Amino acid sequence: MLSEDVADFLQSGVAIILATVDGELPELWRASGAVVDPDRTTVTLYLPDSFGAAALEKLEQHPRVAAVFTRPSDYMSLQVKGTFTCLRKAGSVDRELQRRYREEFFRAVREVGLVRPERMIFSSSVAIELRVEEVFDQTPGPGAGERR
Amino acid sequence: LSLSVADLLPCLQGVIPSPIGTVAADGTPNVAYMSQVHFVDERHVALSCQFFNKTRRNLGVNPRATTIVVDPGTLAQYKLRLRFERSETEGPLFSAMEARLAAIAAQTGMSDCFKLRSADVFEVLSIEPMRGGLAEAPPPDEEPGETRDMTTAQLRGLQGLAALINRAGELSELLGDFLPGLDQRLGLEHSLLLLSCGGSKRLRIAAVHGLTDGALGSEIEVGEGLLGAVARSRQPLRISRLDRDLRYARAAARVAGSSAGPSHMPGLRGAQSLMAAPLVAHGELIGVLAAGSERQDAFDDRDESVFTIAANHVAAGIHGLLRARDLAPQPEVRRRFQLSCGDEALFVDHEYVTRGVAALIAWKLLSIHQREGRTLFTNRELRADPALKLPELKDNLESRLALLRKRLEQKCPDVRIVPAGRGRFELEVACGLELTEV
Repeated sequence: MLSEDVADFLQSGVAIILATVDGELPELWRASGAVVDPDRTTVTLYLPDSFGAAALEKLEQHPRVAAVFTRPSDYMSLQVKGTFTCLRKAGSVDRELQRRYREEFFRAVREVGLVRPERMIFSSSVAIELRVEEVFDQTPGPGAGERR
Repeated sequence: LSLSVADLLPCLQGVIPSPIGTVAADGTPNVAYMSQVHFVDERHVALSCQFFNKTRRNLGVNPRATTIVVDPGTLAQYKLRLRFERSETEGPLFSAMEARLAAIAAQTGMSDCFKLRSADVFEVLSIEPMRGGLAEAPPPDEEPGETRDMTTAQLRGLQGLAALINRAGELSELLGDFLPGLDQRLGLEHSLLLLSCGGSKRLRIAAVHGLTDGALGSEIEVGEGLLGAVARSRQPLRISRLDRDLRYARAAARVAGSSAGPSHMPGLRGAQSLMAAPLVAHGELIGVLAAGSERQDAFDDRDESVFTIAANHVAAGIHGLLRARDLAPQPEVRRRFQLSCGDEALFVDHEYVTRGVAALIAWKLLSIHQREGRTLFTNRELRADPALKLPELKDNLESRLALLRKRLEQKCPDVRIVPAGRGRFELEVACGLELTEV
């Protein structure tokens, strides 16, 4: 189960990268928002539509995943490792959550000097759910990789 | 490959950190962030291995990796499929990557924990623009070839600078003309030139241009801060977003439990982009040339190449002038100045001149003149030098200078201090100088 602090961090305007495995190959995706469920054991990530049927098939064969959440202002990063459980189409509630994420993320990257982040666009998306198994500190530095 | 690594140069300046994905022996993926993906050649990139141990372990069992790089200008993102080839712990690539890291570490005062372990070289198997998700990759603005070629204007600029350097007959003339020339011919508005001093252990700012915090005459240790690190490593350095790099280093410092030091950079306060190149001639480090801009991403690869060529030219020019002066016939009259450091007393040919602040000022002026041939000095640079121990009061310096001028008139008329207006004065030296500290 995630601590409350960690759950808050994952749902703030942090950069999110999801790693999956395709055969032997690592695959990276940029997510556009995360939601932690109330019992703090599952995280939902929003991914682009291009994360399609082929990716789903790979995930079913290879359900182990990792996601890194990084705060742009100070590079504080957490890595969540877990297991893929399901994929669904994003609905209206999901779209509202993504809109909020987008605002917060843009504000965060603007603060560190990125110009006009709103040039980044969102395509329609899918939601995937992960069961959280481990959390690691991933902030760059000698302590990166330590279990929390 | 439809896109080559060279097409991604704007993404490889370390502005936006890149995630690297790898797979462990049990099939679990892992993601770590790197501060920079380095260009090696059209088919290879290198990643700096500092801390990310899990990544290294994974590459040992499965050499495949994936990374995402972002162009900070267009926000276009590219996914790179990589295959780990080798780790380098020495050689030019390692040195260049290490120098950059060492500069950032020196600037944040954490040289001990921010070290490059190896430069990890990867073959780039494919480059795909990323679509969907957070950003749509817009088409590139320019043809890739265009951006990488040196422009005619820059070539002409270099030609003019080379002529300017060769024309200078005195070091002071060269130091006075070169930085304005960099501005006029290459558009570098803020620059400074440091020369080695103190037995090559220190660097002194010998010329500044366009900067507002006029630090002329102040000194740093070799190894101290970004510019000191460039002198130590003898590697050129380019930084696109200084606050980002320092923030990254400070994040690591917090994790390491050490506190990152202040950003001490004489003469380039407020700079966001920086280029610095060591001045080396005949294998000897003679100084550092630096240019800064308050804009982010002000300099690209091409600018860095042009700047480094200019630095090499001026290094050769300075070296030649220093050597010419050493070989020039010495004036018949030689005066032996001696500073007794214990009681801060100044002697000329064993005769007492003055002591305290006036003696320290005289010593500073004579030393700089002897080394650089400089004759024009400012009250401001004297006030800025903590070694002179000037009290706060503004009129104090004027009175010390007046005292020194008078004492020199009496004891050594061959050396004169002549006011030049606007807080400046000339040091006129009509004899050979011999300086010894005891």
